[in-house]
Amino acid sequence: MYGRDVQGKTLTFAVSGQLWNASLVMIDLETRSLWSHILGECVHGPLKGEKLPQLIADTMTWKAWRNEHPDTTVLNLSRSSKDYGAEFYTKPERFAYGFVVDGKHFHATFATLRESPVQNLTLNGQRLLLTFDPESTAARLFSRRLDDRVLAFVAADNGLIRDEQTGSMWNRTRGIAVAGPLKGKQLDHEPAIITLTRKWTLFHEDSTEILEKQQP
Amino acid sequence: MKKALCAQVLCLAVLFGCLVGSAFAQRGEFVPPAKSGARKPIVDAPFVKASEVTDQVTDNELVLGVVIEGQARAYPINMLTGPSREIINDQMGRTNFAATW
Repeated sequence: MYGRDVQGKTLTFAVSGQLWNASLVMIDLETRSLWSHILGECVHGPLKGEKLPQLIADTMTWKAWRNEHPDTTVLNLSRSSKDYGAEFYTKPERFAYGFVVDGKHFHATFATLRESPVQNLTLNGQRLLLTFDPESTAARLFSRRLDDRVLAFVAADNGLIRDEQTGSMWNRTRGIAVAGPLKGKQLDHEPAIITLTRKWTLFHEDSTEILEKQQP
Repeated sequence: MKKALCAQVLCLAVLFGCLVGSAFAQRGEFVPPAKSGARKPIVDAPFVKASEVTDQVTDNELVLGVVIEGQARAYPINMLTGPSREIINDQMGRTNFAATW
């Protein structure tokens, strides 16, 4: 999910018909520049080197999204595939949640996320929380810094997570404290993308895979 | 007979070279082919409210979701696959964005 205003122009993107590293190359009709979908960056043409702003997007079941956002609108085109989602459940290792911290790449496969659904990470000095909710299949990345403190989380009952510093209970997909001293507080979301593991690692050969629970 | 075999081997070698060459070319800089096979862009795609969804989307299928300027929007992955889709040029409020898969 990308913003499409670049250098004061709103760009209109189309599928270029080309692939790069087995991944979609987009063309903008305004300048005919070519853009890598995974990098969000112009790789050829007048806008070469420009980056598209990455927007925070989520992948989850329709039911979970609708519950979280009852007023949502939804795209209404015909189906282009019958059940793409099936593989997401049966072969979770093929899908990765990838993100960048201070220019370094990291990813966790959805198989790992299922195994370790609450991970307190320290990556390049950044304190992060990576969560997965098996019910909705949503993965999320948050900052663990809240005001002046750094929180660490453990899984609790009813799909909630608890911070060890105050004992407050949090919704793991929304990053909002629902009970305890920090009730109403919200963790900052960090952007990440969901893609096929092989595509992510093809683009980012140096990406560090997050394998299992790490110590905060 | 021998000549034909030689020619075949040469052909295979050239083909192999091209394949290896293109694989390496992909690692570094992106080099576009001369011909463009660009598809038509998708703009002004139709959207409905969650309450109006009947059989278009099932509970357990995956959607790509975004919240922009307080408005939520979902894109069922099953509507985004294939070269004639993959990019939806969209806007909400004053934000122009592209939902991509």
